[in-house]
Amino acid sequence: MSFLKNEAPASEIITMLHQMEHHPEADKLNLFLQQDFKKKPSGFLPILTKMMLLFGAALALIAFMFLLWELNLIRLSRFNAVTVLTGGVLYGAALVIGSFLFIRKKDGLEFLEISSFLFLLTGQLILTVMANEYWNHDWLSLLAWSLLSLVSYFGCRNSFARFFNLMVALIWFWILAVDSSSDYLMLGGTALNLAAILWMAFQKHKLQKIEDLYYPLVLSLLMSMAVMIFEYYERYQDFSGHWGSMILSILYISWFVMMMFGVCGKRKLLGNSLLIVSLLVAALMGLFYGAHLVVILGLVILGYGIGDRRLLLIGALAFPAFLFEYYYSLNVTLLYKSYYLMAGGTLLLVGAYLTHRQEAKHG
Amino acid sequence: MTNTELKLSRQEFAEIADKLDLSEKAREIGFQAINGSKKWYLWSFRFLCFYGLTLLLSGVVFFFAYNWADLGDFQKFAVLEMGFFISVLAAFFIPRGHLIEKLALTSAFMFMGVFMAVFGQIYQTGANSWELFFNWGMLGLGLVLLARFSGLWLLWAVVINVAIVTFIDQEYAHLRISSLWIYSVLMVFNGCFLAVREYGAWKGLPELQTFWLRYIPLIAALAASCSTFIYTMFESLFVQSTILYEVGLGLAFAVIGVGWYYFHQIKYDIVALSFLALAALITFNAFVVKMVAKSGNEIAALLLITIVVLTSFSAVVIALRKIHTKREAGQ
Repeated sequence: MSFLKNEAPASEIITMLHQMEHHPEADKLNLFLQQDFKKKPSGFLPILTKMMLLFGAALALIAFMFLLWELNLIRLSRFNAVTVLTGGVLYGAALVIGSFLFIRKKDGLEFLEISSFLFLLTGQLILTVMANEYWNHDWLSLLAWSLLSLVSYFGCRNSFARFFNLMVALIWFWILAVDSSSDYLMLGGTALNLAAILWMAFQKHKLQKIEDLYYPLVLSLLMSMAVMIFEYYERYQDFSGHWGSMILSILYISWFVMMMFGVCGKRKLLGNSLLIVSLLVAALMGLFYGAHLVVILGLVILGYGIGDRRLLLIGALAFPAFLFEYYYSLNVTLLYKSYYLMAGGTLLLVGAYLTHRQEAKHG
Repeated sequence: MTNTELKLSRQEFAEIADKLDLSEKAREIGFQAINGSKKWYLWSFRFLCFYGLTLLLSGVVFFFAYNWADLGDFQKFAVLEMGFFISVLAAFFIPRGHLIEKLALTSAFMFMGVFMAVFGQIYQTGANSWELFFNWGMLGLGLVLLARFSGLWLLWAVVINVAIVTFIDQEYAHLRISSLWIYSVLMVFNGCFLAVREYGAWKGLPELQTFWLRYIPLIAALAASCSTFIYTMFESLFVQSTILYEVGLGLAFAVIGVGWYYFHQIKYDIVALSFLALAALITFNAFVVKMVAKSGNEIAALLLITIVVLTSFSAVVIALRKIHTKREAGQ
């Protein structure tokens, strides 16, 4: 699907470098590609095998937890030293194995890899349950999970374990935020999430140490949207609404505007019809509880703009789901929603026409 | 393929530029080649066209949905028939093989299904819902063949899958093992669909060469095959019908075995092999759980299950990586 592709033949890059009088660098690149460059095993194999190991560890977790229970090594119903010790030993073992694997970086150590997953999942789960039993406080338990995730983030450098731990922490955060019904928490969380995504997107190449945070944050944004739409857009069915719904729309639209300027401005494409039309659509949808749809379109644009196919794909897949949700939302009547969508669609098509004309004009 | 014929993504180029310490200007030129102004315009055009059309059509759907209850029976039919005929006419006038032609035939297929559903609602024919899906699939097959569009093939397969599930559910719900029939028939249908896809791709039909048209039916067939086995495993625990369980196990491994032979020996595909391996792992581990579940020693059983799961998963991952490395080295 060319829509998702964001790549160019190496020969085209080399030719362009020659054309722009960068001969030594073009030759250097050519030589490197001919002699040393080996394309990373592209496709799904590395991802699939890692996922398989994580899946295996999750399956083993069930039997392992029962085993620990049968051996009287854990008792999750009350705080006790033996369970804490068991959790601590497993968690520590996971960190030691994880560090060893990071140093060795060798194939054939998959048994250790899956074992470290298992120990990490089990240890972290046990310690968090114990923290909850000790403090009997949801936010402190989340803090315990987050701290353990933070330590394991640098200790066990496996992107899947990092992804899983962070995802659990973020899902937990949103559940607690909704439970507490605190506007400041929900809107503050959304603002931070949006800001973090934008900052990381434009600084990604410099943030290799924390780049595994990026996709959990994107998924957390989508999750928060589903929650926020219900909390603000659905609950208040008239235009005056609750102040939270207005702030939420402003947050979404501000993010979109900043993102568009970040992506288009970099290319000196101000005046581009994509930019103008998208901003108009954003304003239109923002006024009528459709700002989240604009953010999802924004993820697609951002994905292409920074050359991140995964982000582009996440946005492209999320769009129909949220459009479907928009159909059932109760904030405005279907008739009004149909007008906004038709108006938005027409604007985008006008934008397509203008882009086509602009392209023809500039060759 | 020489390395200069390789396609580089923005990220790959950035990594190479770091390694070679290319100047900022050279990097900018590279990025321009990958998604510079020219490509950006083209992409913007496609983006605006695609999402513009999507929003516009969604708006139209929302509009009719709002007014649907107030429309008379014949008005409802007229709207749907008009949609169908406009789509077919559009496809007729658009050059053969153009994406718009394919999309027009896809929407004609959708209008056909909605028309049949509305017909059933208005006249209350008393027919079971499987008949709707089955008739839709059969009548729409002509459009599917005409469109030569992988997306429509997938849509058609989904319709037939729903027809199978509803048929067994509605006609044979009284049978204790109706779920087993659902899984088995789904396994056979999706397996056959995959075989047709592979044959078509081998014959060079472009619409059947899309990679996901291989993986989606494969995953569906494997999920049905694993479900067949796991269902029979638990069913045999209750009704003590061991033959049922053995048939389930045999079927699951037969499907995996045939798939493995094909994707390993005939048409090498490491992703398909990974899916097959995962299905084999699930089946094998479920088998182990069943075998040790009856033993009296719980601690030994749980320890064994943990070790078997860890060992089998890591062994399969090692095997997959070896197969792939060997294959890449051989090419």
